[in-house]
Amino acid sequence: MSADLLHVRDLRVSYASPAGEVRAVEGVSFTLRAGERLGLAGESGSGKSTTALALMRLIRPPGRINGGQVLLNGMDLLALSDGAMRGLRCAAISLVPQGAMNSLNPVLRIGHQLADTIAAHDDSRGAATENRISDLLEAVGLERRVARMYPHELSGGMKQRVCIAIAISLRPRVIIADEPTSALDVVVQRQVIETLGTVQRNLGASIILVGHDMGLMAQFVDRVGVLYAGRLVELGPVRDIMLDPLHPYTQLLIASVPTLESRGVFKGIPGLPPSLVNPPPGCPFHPRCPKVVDRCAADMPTLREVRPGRWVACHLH
Amino acid sequence: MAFASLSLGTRLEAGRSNPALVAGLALLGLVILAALVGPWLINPEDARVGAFAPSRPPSAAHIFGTDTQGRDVLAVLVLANPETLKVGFIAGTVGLGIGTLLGLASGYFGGITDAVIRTTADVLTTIPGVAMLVLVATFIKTMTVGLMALVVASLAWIYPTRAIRAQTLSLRERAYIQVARLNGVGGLELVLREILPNLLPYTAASFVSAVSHAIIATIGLEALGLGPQNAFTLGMMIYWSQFYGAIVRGLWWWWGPPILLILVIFVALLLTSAGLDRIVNTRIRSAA
Amino acid sequence: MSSPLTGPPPPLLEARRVTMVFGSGLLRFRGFVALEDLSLAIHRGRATVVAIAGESGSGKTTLARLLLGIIPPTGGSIHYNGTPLPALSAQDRLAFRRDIQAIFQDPFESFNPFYRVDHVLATAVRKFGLATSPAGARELVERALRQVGLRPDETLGRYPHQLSGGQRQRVMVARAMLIRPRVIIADEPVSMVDASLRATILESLLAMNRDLGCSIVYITHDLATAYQVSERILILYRGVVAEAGDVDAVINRPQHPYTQLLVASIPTTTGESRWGREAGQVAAAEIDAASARGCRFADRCPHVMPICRASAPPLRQTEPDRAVACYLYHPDGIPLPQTTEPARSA
Repeated sequence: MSADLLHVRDLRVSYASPAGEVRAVEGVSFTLRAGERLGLAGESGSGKSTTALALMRLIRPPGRINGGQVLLNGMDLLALSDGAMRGLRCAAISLVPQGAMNSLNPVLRIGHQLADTIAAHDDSRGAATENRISDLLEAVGLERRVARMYPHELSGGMKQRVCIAIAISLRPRVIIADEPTSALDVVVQRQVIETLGTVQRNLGASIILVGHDMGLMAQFVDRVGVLYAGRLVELGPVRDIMLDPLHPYTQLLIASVPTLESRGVFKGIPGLPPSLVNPPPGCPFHPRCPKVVDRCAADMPTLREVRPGRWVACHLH
Repeated sequence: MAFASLSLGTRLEAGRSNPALVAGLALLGLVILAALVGPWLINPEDARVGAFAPSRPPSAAHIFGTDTQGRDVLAVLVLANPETLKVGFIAGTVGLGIGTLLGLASGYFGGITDAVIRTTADVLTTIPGVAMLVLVATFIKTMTVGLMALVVASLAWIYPTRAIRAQTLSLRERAYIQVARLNGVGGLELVLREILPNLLPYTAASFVSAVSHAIIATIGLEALGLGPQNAFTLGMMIYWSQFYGAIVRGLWWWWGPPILLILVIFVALLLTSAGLDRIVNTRIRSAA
Repeated sequence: MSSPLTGPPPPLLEARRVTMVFGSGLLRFRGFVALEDLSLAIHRGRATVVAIAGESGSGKTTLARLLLGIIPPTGGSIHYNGTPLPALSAQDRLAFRRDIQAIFQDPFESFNPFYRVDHVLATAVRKFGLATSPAGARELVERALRQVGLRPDETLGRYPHQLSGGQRQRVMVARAMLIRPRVIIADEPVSMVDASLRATILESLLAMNRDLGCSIVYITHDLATAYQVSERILILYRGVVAEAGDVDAVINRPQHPYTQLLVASIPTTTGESRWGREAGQVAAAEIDAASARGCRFADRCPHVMPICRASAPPLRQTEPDRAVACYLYHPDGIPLPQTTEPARSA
């Protein structure tokens, strides 16, 4: 039940740019248990989307995976051949990419696009596929007749649910959702996230939710990892982190989420995110950290389990 | 300009990633160089009637032989090159200039202005250009290179107008135009200072295409005998060679070289156009 | 309406029963109604912060464009100091521009990519005559940048693509600060900015409200930041005001079923899950059947009644500081005759 399904070890991804090599992911490690919901939270430039793409081995030049292992049931995805990985993609591990609803083919009906994904792996067509499509649509809370519709006839939330249907069409064990609700309003966001949860429960799959909204994380995931400048700075059960964040960045990040409890109080994080080409020495957060000590500028803190299940990368702990 | 913010290294790399543009500009540069410098290097007397023995095939003395009037074909070619380029560039520039003005006005102001300009351009597109040019040209008693350019320019504005109009329509809706309006910028200043600079890549691409079309139209008219009779242009060379039966008489060295040079010019223009296209598209992609 | 000698001064910026229909030319009946019969007034002399909250498609961006005079309404009118916008003289137009400014959602698109970021600031100084010398202009610009938390030497001389989204948006706020308008229409100013930088930008806006006496119309889909920033709020649903009034009352004791749904859907980090509270009666009637006559929310409302589908409920006051457009609060069901009073929203 709580066996480790996915084991990410020391993942490193960078990409070439005119300014130099951008170190997007610098040694990220975490595990994902079966049936678990894990959140990867961070702002722009934190490396969360790059991590999601790397898990799917969808990093293309000028990006490059420089090192690490991604063990799915013991099998290293990064060491597989292209053909083998293609077979696993969508079937064992699938992705709802960012802005997915805008990448639906506008000239094909929804049913057709679902069938394409199934056919690419199964080589099956015909009545059996049609039933599967209807079942998939039902699983995401859409009516059967959506299969005959075109993307432009659907609302944003419906399109996103179609993308979820595509992602689960081959019953993967791991579903990665990258900012699945970014363009949607709160009401539809809730519907889509709840759909994601239902789907995950029915499939017995695990979910990795990538996003920047800590409030959303608090509502949906079991454990959350906070990324900053390509590194995991904190990892633990979401409730514990929300109530008692250990890393200063996590504390500031949670504090910056506006609540409906108090008015006129604004807590941001001063300063700017660090350059990923020339990161500062030591802890990447130290230039902006309110609790910085001398050691922070010299030594890079490592992610350590300071309490059972609570991991932090900070010299204060 | 934003280009200036890139380092030399980035600019070199940009050049490497756009071989079409580099090759096209290089080739074009060579042709233009030949047009500028060539006439100084040859003896203009060699291009006069009766300068040499007529209808001689290529030899050491005459690389491209002589024509039926006794002119050295190479000399004529070198003198004709700048004239053809002149017509092309003048017509292209005038056409583009008018086209940009009309396209900007049409796209920015909309309404009646747009309706009139757009409909005129659309109607004129349907009329075969060559037929119109032939008609206009027949009314001119003595054709000169300058007049030729104007005749061709009279139709060269149509396509640039539509292209610039489309681009203006799109740019007009951009948020930074709204911000400029909020800053109190309006009317002419808005068009010239905010919209026009962002049109430059598109105008450059339209310019190259306008020049290509102008040269083709010119050569077409000249080959039909409507060109400037007393001037040397590449098209006139072809015309005269036809007139004096060069094909029947096997004088391939008379019509061959001008056609080859025309080919080179067009390949250069095509490569430049393709290269500019890539830049324009890259800017769209990076701005997204 | 009232004489300048005897009556109260006209509002600084006013939308009088504006309607916006995006339709296809001749046959208007298939038009898309972005806004219907909306009234809003910002008065001079009292700097307020009004939030216009709604989801995408609610008409909030259309309202912003109408208030700024970018597009004309198909019905009703927009007034500046009592004069309808089309009737403004050239001089009044400049005064209108000076008094009413805006900040847009996309920090990158707001800059002309051909110029450095200095250009948009220098143009403002030049067009509004804010400085008498180049040195004075430079000083003004640098001061405004520092006020929004930017370092002039790190910002000026750069191109937009060389700055981050948060920095760009702060330059836009600085631009507004330079001009010292009376009203700023902020259309989703922080939705494309990282969470940690939002606070700085919102704080700058509030500083303008507090210290420069500038009113802010804060347009957003994010109720939480609306709650943080504003005093009064309008909840828009598909072009119609569902609820309006004091922000504390509307958010903490929502009356309109749509407002209740919105507030219940906000994910929060504190304590218990808000989502658990709501009985998930969110009937997803999303495949659009636009009922033009009844209440816009009827298809999704858990408390819908027959009268709701028959005619749209008018916006009426339910408490001293709040108005709701819902038949649940007007059980008599008979709408009162429309007076010409502006809606109690500003």
